[in-house]
Amino acid sequence: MVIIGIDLGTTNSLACICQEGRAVLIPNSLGETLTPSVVSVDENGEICVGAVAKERLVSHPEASASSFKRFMGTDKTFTLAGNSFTPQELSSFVLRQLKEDAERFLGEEVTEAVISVPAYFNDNQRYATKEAGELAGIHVERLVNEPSAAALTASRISGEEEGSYLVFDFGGGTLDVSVVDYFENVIEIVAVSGDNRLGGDDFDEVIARSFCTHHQMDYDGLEPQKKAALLRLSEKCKRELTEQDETELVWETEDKRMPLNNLLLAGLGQSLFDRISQAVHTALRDSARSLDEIDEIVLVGGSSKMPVISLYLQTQLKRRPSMVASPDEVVAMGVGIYAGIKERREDIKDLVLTDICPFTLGTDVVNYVDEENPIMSAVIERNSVLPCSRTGYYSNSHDNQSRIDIGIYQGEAYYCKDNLKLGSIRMDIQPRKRGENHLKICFTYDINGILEVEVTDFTNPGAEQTKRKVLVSENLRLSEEELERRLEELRKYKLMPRGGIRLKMVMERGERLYAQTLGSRRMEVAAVMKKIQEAVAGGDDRQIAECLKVAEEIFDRLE
Amino acid sequence: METDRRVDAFIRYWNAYRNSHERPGTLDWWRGYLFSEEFQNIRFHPQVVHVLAGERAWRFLRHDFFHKDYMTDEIKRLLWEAYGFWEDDKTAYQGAYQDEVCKLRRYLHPKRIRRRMKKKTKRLVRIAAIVLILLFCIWGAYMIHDGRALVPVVIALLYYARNLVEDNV
Repeated sequence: MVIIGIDLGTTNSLACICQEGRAVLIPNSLGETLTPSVVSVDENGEICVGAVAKERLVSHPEASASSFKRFMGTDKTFTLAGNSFTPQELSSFVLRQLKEDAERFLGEEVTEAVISVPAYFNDNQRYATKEAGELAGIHVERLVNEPSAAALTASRISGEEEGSYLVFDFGGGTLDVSVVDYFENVIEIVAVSGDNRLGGDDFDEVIARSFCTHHQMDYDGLEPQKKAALLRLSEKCKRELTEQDETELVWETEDKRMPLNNLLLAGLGQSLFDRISQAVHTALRDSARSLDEIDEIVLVGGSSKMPVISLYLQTQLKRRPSMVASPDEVVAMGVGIYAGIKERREDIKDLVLTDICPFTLGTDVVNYVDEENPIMSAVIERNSVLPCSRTGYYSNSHDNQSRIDIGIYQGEAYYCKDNLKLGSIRMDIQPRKRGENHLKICFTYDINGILEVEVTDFTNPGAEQTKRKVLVSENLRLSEEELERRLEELRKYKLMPRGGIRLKMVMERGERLYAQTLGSRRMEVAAVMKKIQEAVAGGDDRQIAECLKVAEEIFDRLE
Repeated sequence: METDRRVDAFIRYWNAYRNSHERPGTLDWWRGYLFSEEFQNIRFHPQVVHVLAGERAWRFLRHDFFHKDYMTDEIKRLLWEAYGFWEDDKTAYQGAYQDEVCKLRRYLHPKRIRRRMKKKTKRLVRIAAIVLILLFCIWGAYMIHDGRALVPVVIALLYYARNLVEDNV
């Protein structure tokens, strides 16, 4: 059975397999390797995923959703044309689409996958990703950290079997900066840092806001449809600046325009660059490595293609970042290679990918100054290599306590209230004076993100009592029945048939362009759409294909 | 009890070393200590391994390009020998804390020091070559047209030289 690698991104997702020791990206029904992580529900109740849904994001924003990866592991829901979906369910549609594309490409059923996640993802987010896989009918063989996957690709392409990499992963919605070490066939993430609320989308917003300020408009007061259109144009300008020095943002009418170049963009995004700088320096400091020891700076993620980003990094890090492969594809290729390793293919040398615990795990201890506000006591520190097991020794905080409630927390904050509570264990103890009851708390965190906490009261030697709890965050975990029920619910949503995707995409694009243009350009769009409708009514496949080709050329010109 | 005392002592020594590792004579003391029975008996103690392999263990090190690496490389070499690690033997360490022992072994591995030194030498050679080319070009510019080409040539060369030095070596 083949195992595929999936890079489930905020903006785009990709599927990859390992063939003859090399990563092969799987094309979707439009022949592209990048599938936008956008989901939309159309008028027939069918689920559109990818480019079609991206077109509908502008024309039907109330029925479409994007960037839902940012909300994985939270209880946020998205309402699409009256249907409510969790981020996991929306991700499952993307995964289902990628699975179908892979099955068509390979000519066999795909039931197993390795999925990449940002190293910074917490326990809930990781579990939510696994759940999305299960909802898509995929057994998730393993979650791989994106920087590990990027380092794996970098080392394969450069041919260097050993090295230290600074992986700068700047995607649509998240920034991950990691220091990854590849030594003796072990890929180890030494340090991670990042900002999971910062991405290329923020640059789109910066451009859109600047445009509104330029024309005395209130960006926050724009209607959702108009805002989406403006953001799309901003994104287009940002993309143009990766290939040319200057561009112009023209919106609605010819007089509403704003010139833009990379220098201006660098100025507009100053606050974003400050956040980038903070993440880079935290990763380097945490890794205890200097730039001198870093062999390569690997750019990952579509947004790192922006010249302002590579120039900024060059200025900050005093060396040129290298682009070993297309930054959009680096992670997917690494996950694909790792999927090959999981398949135990003979043509690939075995490799150990160590995971790290991205957050500190610990327990609460009494704060004698403010008893209502307990302090976090770290048991497993962040960046510890997984699997790991650590023990902490504690005692009762008050005289004659008959029980101790041990809270289990995840996070870096000093006070427990500012960290994420994963669960608690109640331990009955014999009433004694303060400090006379002795407890041993052992945290064991495995490679699948399952935390086992074992509390042993060893006050009376020979009569120790132990309580054990396996934690997989309380409120977000699904039971078997719940999972089956949700799978049943999701089955009623059919993905759009593969054959009609191109036609649907061109029509949606036409609708969007019609709404965005005026005058002769609008008339031209209308004429093209009419031609397509006539061809569809005629039922001649060749004529339809020809019509679509011409329409795409015209739409490209009008964009 | 004796083990606990030794472990506590090691942690105290290590914390002191973090602040004084550049002081002359420090390494001699460590050479004696690491091979003494006091350290040898506790070298695989979980707390000792955790202190040396933990995320904050080596954060005090300076790796500026022109900084002398001798002191930091030497302590790593001493620890490598004190632990009895072998270059090709990566799976010999089992037990509950094997992940940390392996991590420490990878961090201390002499191959890393050799690789860094090689990179540093390569970079120095590159800088030297660029300086030589720069001097030759300046001399050439000075000789042509009574030195009138000197200023623009020097500006252009400095700009390109900076980029060349910043390139990955």
